[in-house]
Amino acid sequence: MNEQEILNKILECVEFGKVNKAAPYPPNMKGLDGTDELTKIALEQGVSPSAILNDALIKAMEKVGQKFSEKKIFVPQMLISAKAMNAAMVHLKPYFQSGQVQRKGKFIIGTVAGDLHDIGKNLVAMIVEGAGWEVIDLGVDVSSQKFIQSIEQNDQAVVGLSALLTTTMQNMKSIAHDIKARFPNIRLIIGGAPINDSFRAEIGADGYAPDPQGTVAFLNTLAG
Amino acid sequence: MTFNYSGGETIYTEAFHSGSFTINQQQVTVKVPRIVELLGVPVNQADRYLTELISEEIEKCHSICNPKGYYAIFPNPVFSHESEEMHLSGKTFHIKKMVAAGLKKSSSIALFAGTCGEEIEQQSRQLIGEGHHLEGLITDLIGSEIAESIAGVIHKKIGEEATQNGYKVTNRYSPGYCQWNVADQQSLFTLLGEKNCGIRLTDSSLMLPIKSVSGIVGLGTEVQFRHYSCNQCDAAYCLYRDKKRGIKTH
Repeated sequence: MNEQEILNKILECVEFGKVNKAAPYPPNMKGLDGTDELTKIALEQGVSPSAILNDALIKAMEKVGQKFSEKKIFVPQMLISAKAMNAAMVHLKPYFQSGQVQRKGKFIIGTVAGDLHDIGKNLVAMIVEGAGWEVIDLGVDVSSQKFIQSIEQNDQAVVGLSALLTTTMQNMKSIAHDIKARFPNIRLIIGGAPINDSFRAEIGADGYAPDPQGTVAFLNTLAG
Repeated sequence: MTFNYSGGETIYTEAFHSGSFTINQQQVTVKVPRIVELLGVPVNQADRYLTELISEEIEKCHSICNPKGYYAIFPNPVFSHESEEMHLSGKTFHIKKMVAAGLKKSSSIALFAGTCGEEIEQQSRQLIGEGHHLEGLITDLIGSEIAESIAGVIHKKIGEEATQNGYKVTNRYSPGYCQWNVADQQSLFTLLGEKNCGIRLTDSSLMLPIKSVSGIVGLGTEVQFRHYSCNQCDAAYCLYRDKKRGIKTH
């Protein structure tokens, strides 16, 4: 396979969620190599890790996002695609660490203090990573201080706050206030079941997204 | 007012009647199409891979969950219609219009709590930690449905007790839903006391284990089961929006 062929194959595997050879999904690709094997082969053949990231993985996730927006696929297929993407990312990790491959930016995410719900936050983190961002996941029950510490360590990062409860929405408000007081230029996006755009305006956040795809769309406007 | 009780462990606290019980795993039901729906997939577009995966995860969740329920019945609620509050056994519940409308003719109030234990949420976290996000999400949704099923079993049990004593029951309502502030969990759990299935409340009124349910049911001769008024609520995100419409438990 030449470089373009293997990049196309990786793209196809991410788009349709073929993780590795052993994976049973999708049924029509049973027994074929997945992103795990193909990424390894591509790197061995000298394909640049940047090409794998930008011309295969991110492009594939853009197609997935587009199909999701058009309701041609749904959350399960998106998660399977993201899983296939992550299988490729494992092979690219050393190149991220060495600085040989640059991502679009950094995204700090956490569930606000007092709240332990993380399913939605994890899905957002996964899809954002798939869109080419470095994700710093602070976990659950995250205080203002912890967010601020992470922002200090990750200059230019965008911050995402998640909350599921109406009670912890109030914590989100105070955390957003603390972050903006310390870093007025930081870009802040919020999400979670009870959150809406009015609440975003109330607490002075820059963006609100009801789903992972909305977060990616917001981040992409910042990445220029 | 006397209340005859049969089955389970009978406990007398400040409530005039209460009961705690272990729920048989066969009593909690989760249906594949409901999980498909919660995943946002139109049921007619769910492929076989997905439905088989959900079935497998339901089976696993059933094998590890540990469902329990508890309720306590308190007499003589006082409703303040203007402020949409309910005063019960020294506590004030800020129940708002939708819940107040359902409960106002109650002569006593059953408070309840139930849980499926910590096992399902642990399983979900483990799957996600291992990179199996879809399986982890499905497991989480199954946990939520099992918890809701437990609430249904408790509601039914309260309804059976009520019927035996010549009363009817209302719908069940929970803090955090139907515009009722979740902070009232604190008062609810204070009245439930220590026999609350081991559920702990955080300062933000989050129940631990997370896959737990709590709420209230009104009892009386004049009460009736009503359709949930989801059209009066702006919580478009609500997991149970319109789901309870038409459900009767007695």
